[in-house]
Amino acid sequence: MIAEIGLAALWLAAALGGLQLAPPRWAGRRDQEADVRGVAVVQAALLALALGASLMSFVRTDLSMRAVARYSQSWALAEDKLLDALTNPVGAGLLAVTVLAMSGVVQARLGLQPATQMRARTLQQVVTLLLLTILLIAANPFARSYPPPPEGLGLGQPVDLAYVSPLLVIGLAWLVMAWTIWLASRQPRDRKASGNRAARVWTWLALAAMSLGTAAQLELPDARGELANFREWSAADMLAGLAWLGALGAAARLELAGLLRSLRRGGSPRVGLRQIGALVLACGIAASLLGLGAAVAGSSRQQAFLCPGTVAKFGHRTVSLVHVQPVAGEGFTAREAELMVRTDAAAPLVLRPRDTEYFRKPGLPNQIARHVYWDGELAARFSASGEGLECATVDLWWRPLVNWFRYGAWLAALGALLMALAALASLWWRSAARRRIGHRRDDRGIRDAQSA
Amino acid sequence: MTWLAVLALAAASLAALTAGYGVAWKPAGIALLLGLGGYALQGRPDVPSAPHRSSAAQFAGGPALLAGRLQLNEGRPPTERWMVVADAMARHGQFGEAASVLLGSVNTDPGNAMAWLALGDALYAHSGGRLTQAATLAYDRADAAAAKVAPAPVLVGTALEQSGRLRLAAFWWQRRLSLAPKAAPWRGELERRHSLAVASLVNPRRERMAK
Repeated sequence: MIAEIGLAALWLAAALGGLQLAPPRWAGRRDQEADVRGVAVVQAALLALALGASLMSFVRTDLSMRAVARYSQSWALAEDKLLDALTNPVGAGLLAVTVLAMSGVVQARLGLQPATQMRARTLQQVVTLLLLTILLIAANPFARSYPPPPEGLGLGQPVDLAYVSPLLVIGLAWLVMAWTIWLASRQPRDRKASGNRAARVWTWLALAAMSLGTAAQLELPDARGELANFREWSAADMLAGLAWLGALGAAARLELAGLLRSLRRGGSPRVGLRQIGALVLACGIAASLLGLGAAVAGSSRQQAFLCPGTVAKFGHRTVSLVHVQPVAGEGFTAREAELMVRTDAAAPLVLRPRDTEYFRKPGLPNQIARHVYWDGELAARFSASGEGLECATVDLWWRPLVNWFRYGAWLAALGALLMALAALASLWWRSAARRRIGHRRDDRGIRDAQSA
Repeated sequence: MTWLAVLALAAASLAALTAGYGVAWKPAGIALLLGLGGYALQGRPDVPSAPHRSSAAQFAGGPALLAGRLQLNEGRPPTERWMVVADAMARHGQFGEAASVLLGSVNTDPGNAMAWLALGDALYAHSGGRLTQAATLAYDRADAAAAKVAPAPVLVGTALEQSGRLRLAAFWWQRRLSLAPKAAPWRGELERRHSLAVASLVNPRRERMAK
């Protein structure tokens, strides 16, 4: 029944989208603005209900739903099931359309000129309706099948994309908001400035969401002990990283241009939340670029075969295997190697990589152990060797400044968030000022009328 | 029932639009009716939902593992603190937690063969009755620790037999034989046990008579 209610909510939301796009005479509108706001609120509530139904079906592993049977499994952890729901292509579409509708409700509070507001809502509704049509006709997230399969086929989403994907979708939806507002305010009679300011809020929110997704993707799998995101970076990774940093850098440059101009003129620059945000963002980008470049150019790797008591040299470090222990965890058992890493300068360091056998989520890689220094990270991977269970093949990596890339990603996300807050505060302050001026005009009008 | 819920949802939407935001009820009603029409075309309220519990079923052979070890110890229950706690956890199906507790025990006393055996059992049960590399490593250590005080490394094979895991026992004897040095004095004993285990798999009655 949950899936059916989700599908019904999706259809009702699509019908309301059609109502919003209908000509005013057909829709029998008295107060067009209030009508549009009402329809937007109810549509957003219906889409939120549909998304909730989809999430619930994934958590319960309702195998009568095709999407669940295809993209999830009953033994997955609840957190993974939620990620399965949001990262599969159909679920990502549903998430995008819901975020778009909910953002439309928030947009009504951003103090846009009514005509711009209406045009922007219409453009957003066209995109929403298009996505809903694709979802309902070509990729129904609530499609059912009978009899249900005995078990889902999905092995869970690849950890490489699990965290970044939903935040990327949210970011894209917010970019659509920004573009539609920007387009809607390109009319000769409109105050373009208010449209630009509202578009800036959504753009920065989108960049913050995307940067947050990137930073989370780089950190969270480690926090979960999966460490599956660890791999040697390819040229494609490098290009993707540069493109992301380039986009952020271009946006930060625009914001910092004023600050730099006033510094060049020798005047005292005005430093507010916006400038602080831009500076944090610029620092984040610089740190990330440095980390990315150093990690790609200066990484080194070595493989060693170790038994208890044997020693391998890795740069200026010596690595020895103390022992191998059997361990158990949530959904896996593993052999855990205790590696002792010694250098002349520092105290010995213990790394514990695992040769893991997952019985709930097969196909995941071995768990890597790493130690983060200020100037890079040392990582070790342990895999089975043909020489019995007491010995190990150990891969060791040294990646200089790679941690700076991660810290830079968090800083960039924080900077983008500060910029979004600054843009929002400026918008709110201007709309409050406009309201105050309006009230004053009204009061003066009343006084004039009384005196007359 | 599903249709009732869907109609209630449409009615609630209509009420929110007309009463809450003053939208004209005719166009709103027509739009919602169209939405209901779309749902009627595509919806399948007749298909029952099929929520599925985890297929990684709880290992049910926990009591047999405990009984096998008790029998091996000539009916004497373990007295060591960690083992008592771990056995209590295993009785409640918490094999992963039991393994963590037993890891503490073997770290304190690496020569405790029964603790290694219990750890192997806990790991075997935790992975739903699979002989993973971790369980194999623990069983290997159990045999190695037992061989220091016994004439032959037969602890794990015997425990596997006594807990009813006959196929696994045959595999284990075979593995022990393949790892044993050619000149080991206890090789003959291992061969005898292996052939008995294989025979018991082929003919369980013959096994009982041999015993």
